[in-house]
Amino acid sequence: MKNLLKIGLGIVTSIGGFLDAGTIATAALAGAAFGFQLLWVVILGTGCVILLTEMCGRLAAVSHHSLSDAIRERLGFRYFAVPLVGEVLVDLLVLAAEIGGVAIAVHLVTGITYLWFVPICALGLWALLWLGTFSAIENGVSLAGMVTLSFVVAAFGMDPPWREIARGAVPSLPSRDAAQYWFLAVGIIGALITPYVLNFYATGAIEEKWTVKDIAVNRVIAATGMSFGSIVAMSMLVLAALVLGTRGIQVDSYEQAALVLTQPFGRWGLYLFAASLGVACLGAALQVSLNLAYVVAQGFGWNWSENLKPHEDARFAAVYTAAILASSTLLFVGDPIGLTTLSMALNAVIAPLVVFPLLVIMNDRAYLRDHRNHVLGNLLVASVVVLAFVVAAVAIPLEVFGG
Amino acid sequence: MRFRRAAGVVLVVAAIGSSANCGANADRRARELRRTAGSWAATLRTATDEWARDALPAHFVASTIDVARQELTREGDRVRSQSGAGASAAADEVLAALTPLRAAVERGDRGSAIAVAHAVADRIPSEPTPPVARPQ
Repeated sequence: MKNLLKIGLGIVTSIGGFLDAGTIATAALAGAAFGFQLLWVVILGTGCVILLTEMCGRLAAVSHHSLSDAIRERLGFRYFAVPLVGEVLVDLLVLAAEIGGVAIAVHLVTGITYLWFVPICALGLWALLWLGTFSAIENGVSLAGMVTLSFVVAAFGMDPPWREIARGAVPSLPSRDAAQYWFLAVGIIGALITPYVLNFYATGAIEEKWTVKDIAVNRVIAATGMSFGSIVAMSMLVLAALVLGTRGIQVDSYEQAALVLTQPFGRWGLYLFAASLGVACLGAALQVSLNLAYVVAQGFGWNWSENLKPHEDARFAAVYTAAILASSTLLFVGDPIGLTTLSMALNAVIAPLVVFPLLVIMNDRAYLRDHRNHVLGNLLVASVVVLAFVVAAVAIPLEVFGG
Repeated sequence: MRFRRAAGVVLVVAAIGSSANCGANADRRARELRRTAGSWAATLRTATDEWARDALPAHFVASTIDVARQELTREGDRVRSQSGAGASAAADEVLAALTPLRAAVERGDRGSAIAVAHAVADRIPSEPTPPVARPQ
């Protein structure tokens, strides 16, 4: 039973890290523009993120270090400062996009301009962090996140062409609009291999006091949790292909994306879409704001834990408070979809700075003892590092030309 | 001296190349605007059809119209500044339909809203993508 509850960490990491404003928007864009052709990118990204989260969980269970902690200790503060600054800046953009996503979810249902809801959503987010504990947040988001299964139910209900879906799982080159195709491919990878997901998972494992005995369960949790998010994201892509692509509807706004569920579910479709978007973005906002506070606190050696009262780790609490305030302000100068695509591109740029050190640390006996990576694990992570560098190199030019 | 001459030639070639590229970019933006206009026309047709069968509330259709107006106005202004008034004709036609469409939605007249949305979608067709793994 305890192990089953631990799966909550996998699912909440998945809901916040896998399924968020970026993935929902990109999956819808990809399906509407290219049918099932980009499914293989989601599968590739899922494999990468399962591999990386399993390693982060193993690192936490054996060494009781989070990823940020281990990077700082192993490679020194001078190296750590670079991904630290990058991660803080990107996380602020991502947090703004996620708060915006929650506000837009409310706007879709009420018709009132989303900007009115930004301060309310920001305050609600802050209150959950101030008053909640890690397990309460984790279990709450996991449970509420089940609403995103409506995408899966809808996709099955539309009786999709399964043979074509299977063909979409095989990598292919674009037959048209190459810049947009690769922009979306890079966007999907960039939305999945994000430093904040990796650090959040490792820190969450420490919050839950994992030990060496949890290594086997960690594999199940990483695989199950991330697969959950992947199946929902793929369902979104399939629905967008079936409902939007066949009508020639591009996804330039969440209003267009919401149409994917009104066909199968009627009036309930809009509410299910809004609920899914709201929960996914709230989960992501909680995760990103906590991660910001974790990374800064761990970087500077401050007290940190979501399970402590705010007065016991005041600087930790101050970081997420300031982050929520700063990010909410950004929404009054930029639109959420614009912030989302920019943050995905920047995430892709800083990801190698975090993934490469992970490869080093996972082979360090001082941290992993007898649980270091095997040769195959190292080869796979090295491949992910190469992929991350390639994605980082092309992300910004593609943002300019293909976005 | 030879280096300076070579550098000058490179700069001139680069300037010609980038101005040609600007022209190509302007054509690309005009084509994208045409596609975007077709996309929004299809969106409005779908949204009004869903409203007619009570699958969407009126306020959702109204806010979709507002977002369409915002997006097409912004993109249309950008394309017009690069390529002239003719390049944004499709977007302008969709924009012109938004006022009567919104009025019909506000007074709850589903029949008129459907007629307007369908008419503009027929005049500015979208570019569908088939639900396959290898779209052409």
